[in-house]
Parts: sequence; C-alpha cells; structure tokens
Amino acid sequence: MPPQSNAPRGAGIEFRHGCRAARTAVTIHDVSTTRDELLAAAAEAFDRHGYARATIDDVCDRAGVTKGALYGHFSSKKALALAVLERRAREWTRIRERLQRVHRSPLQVLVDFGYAVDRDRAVVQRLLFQAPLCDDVAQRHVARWTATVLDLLRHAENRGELRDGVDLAECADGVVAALVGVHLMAMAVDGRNEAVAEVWRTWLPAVAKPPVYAALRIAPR
Amino acid sequence: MNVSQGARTRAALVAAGIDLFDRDGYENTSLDAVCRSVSVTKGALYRHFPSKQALAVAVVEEYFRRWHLVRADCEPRVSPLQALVDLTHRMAELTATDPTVRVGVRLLFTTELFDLLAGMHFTSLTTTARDLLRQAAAAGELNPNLDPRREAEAIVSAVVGTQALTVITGKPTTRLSTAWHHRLAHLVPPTRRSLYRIG
Repeated sequence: MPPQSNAPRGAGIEFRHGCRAARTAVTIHDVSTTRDELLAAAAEAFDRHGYARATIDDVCDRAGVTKGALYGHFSSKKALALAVLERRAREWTRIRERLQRVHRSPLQVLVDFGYAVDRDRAVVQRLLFQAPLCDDVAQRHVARWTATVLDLLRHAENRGELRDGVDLAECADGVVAALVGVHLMAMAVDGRNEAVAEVWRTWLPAVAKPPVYAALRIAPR
Repeated sequence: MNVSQGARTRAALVAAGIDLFDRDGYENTSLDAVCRSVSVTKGALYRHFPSKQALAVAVVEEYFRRWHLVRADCEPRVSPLQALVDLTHRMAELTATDPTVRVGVRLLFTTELFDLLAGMHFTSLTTTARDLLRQAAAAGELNPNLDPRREAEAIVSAVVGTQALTVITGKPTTRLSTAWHHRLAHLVPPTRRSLYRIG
C-alpha cells in the first residue's frame, strides 16, 4: 500500500514521503551492486592476505571504488568481514535448500553440504577464526553449523535411516569438530584433499543403517 | 643484569602474557599492561621481546613444550593404541583446563602465528599419531590394510577441531569420546574393541 493513502499527517509531508520513496527505489539498485562488488573484492583480499594483513585500500582497488564509497557501505574492516561471513552463511543455506530438492536422503545432503562448505573454507576459516572476529562471531557460526548438521540427522532419523541409539547431538558436535579440524589442517598443511571424505567414512557407517550407508555417495561429485 | 636474572624476567613476562591474554584477549592486551604486571620497564621487556607478536610466539612455544611433555608422559607401555587414545583426551582436556595450553592454542589458531607455526605443529601431532598407529599395527592391535598416515591425519583433525571449538566456545567437550567410539569400529577387530578405555 502506498504511504500516502493512510498517512495521518498533512498533504505536503505525504508528498515528500512519496518523493523519498521513489528516490530510494532507484538508489537501492546501485547500492546493492556496489555492495556486492565490495563483498566479492573483500572475500578475495581476506582469502589472499588473511584478515590482519588485508587492507581497506586493497579492497577498494580490487572493487574499483573509492574509500569514501566503501565507508558509505561498511564502517570498518571488521564490518566488512562480518558482512562477507554473513553472505557466505546465506549462500550455504541456499546450497542446502538446493541439495534438499535434489537428494532424497538427508545424509546425502549432509555429505554434499560438507563438500560445498569445504570449497569456501579458505575465506571463512581465515576470517572466522581470526582475532578479533573470532571472539564475537565464531561461536554463533559454529552453533549454526551444528544446528544444520543436527537438523539433517533428525530428518534422517525420521526417515528411518539411522541406527538405533545414536546420540544425534553428540554426533552433530563431533562432525562439526572434525570438519573444523580438517579445514584448519588443510590451511596449514598442503595436499589433504581426501580429508572431508575421511570424516564421512568415519562417522556415517556408525550412524547410518548399513543399507543406507551402502547407498550413499561418499566421494565429492 | 646476570643471566639467571634475565631468564627469570623472561619467564615472568611469559607468565604475565599468558595471564593477560587469557583474561583480556590478545588484541586487548598492551605491552604496557604486561610490564606493569611484572613491574619491569618497557626497555627491559624489549630486551626479551621486540614486539607483542614475539611475546605471543614465546607463549605458543610454552604450549608446544607442554605438548612434548604430555607426549613423553603417554609412552605406550601395554597398548600403543590406548596410549594414542589417552594422548588425544589429555590434549583436549588440557585445552579446556590449562591456561598455558588454552592461550597457546588460541594464539596459534586465531592470530597471524597460524601461518608461521601451525603447519609445523600439525605435522608433529600427525607424526606422533602415525608412529603410535604403526606400533599398534606391529603389536597386532589393528585391522589389516589400514593406512597409518591417513588414519593419523583423521585423528589429528578431530583433536585440532576439538581444541579449536573448545577455545572458541569456552566449553569442555565430549566430542572425542564419540569420535573414538566410531573410529575404533573401523580400526580394531570386533573382539578387541571392549579392551579399550575411550571415554
């Protein structure tokens, strides 16, 4: 409903409201494009240099915008980093939803979701586990990952895919710890491409009924 | 200043660094605060540590020393696999309870020291785990056809992830018990599984 129709104030003010709304509609489009470019550039800079060494200047250069324009969107390097993480988290939600449409088995969703997250690990790990971001947001993100894993395990349980007596909360905690460990190791030591598959090979046979496990694809696609 | 006095000052500075990093976090700790808590001048501190990062490195080295002590303490007497299980639990427990380990792990995983020192540390953990698994295989504890290197990397990943989540969430965890429960099913023949203490 347009704001004019039910605004309680005088006609002049209503008119101004209407004007402002129209102007905002135009700028939001520009704003979101620049913002997206800045976020993409920031993700690249953080990935390459790490949070501590990445600079606002570098992000501006990559995005081709001025410092003033950047500060119009993000008040600080930290705000920029938080926005990069937030965008990545939203992407993961979309990936999970897509996987849930493709795969019948929640465990197959879990396996492929693990690989999707693994492909983003450089930027996420470099940001999330770096001080000072770590203290403020890492706990929340870890809780979110754990809730996702737990949710998929619950779906699997409801579909009768799991063995009896599996403690789902402990499994979710253990799987997230193993994946975080894999990411940290991979960032520090080269040549560990098989590591995520190894996590699934350890956990899934213990969790899934044998015929369910046998039907899963454990390798990345 | 004589040598032992210098060593004492250095040790006091490292201890103060651990206390303050633990209480206020690395970012929020100033070298001035470290000097005040040990009652030394900034000049005296700079003789030992030219920067906050240098002090952080000394703290992480203290954590490494702790790791080497724990490893030496876990020498396999009866079962190399049990020694490995105990070693991982001990590391996880110390990460939750021992300030030196907690602060050392936090600095190693969350600061620029990760790029300098984490690779070396992870390699040391993996080599230890691999050696214990090889000894376990030689003692007939394991299923045949296991790759000790691959298994060691998986075990160390679980330990490293548990450490990371412990310092991030501040909560001790039971994650490793569940992980070992599943892992033994894969490593050890069914008849032998009940022989191990994993919780």
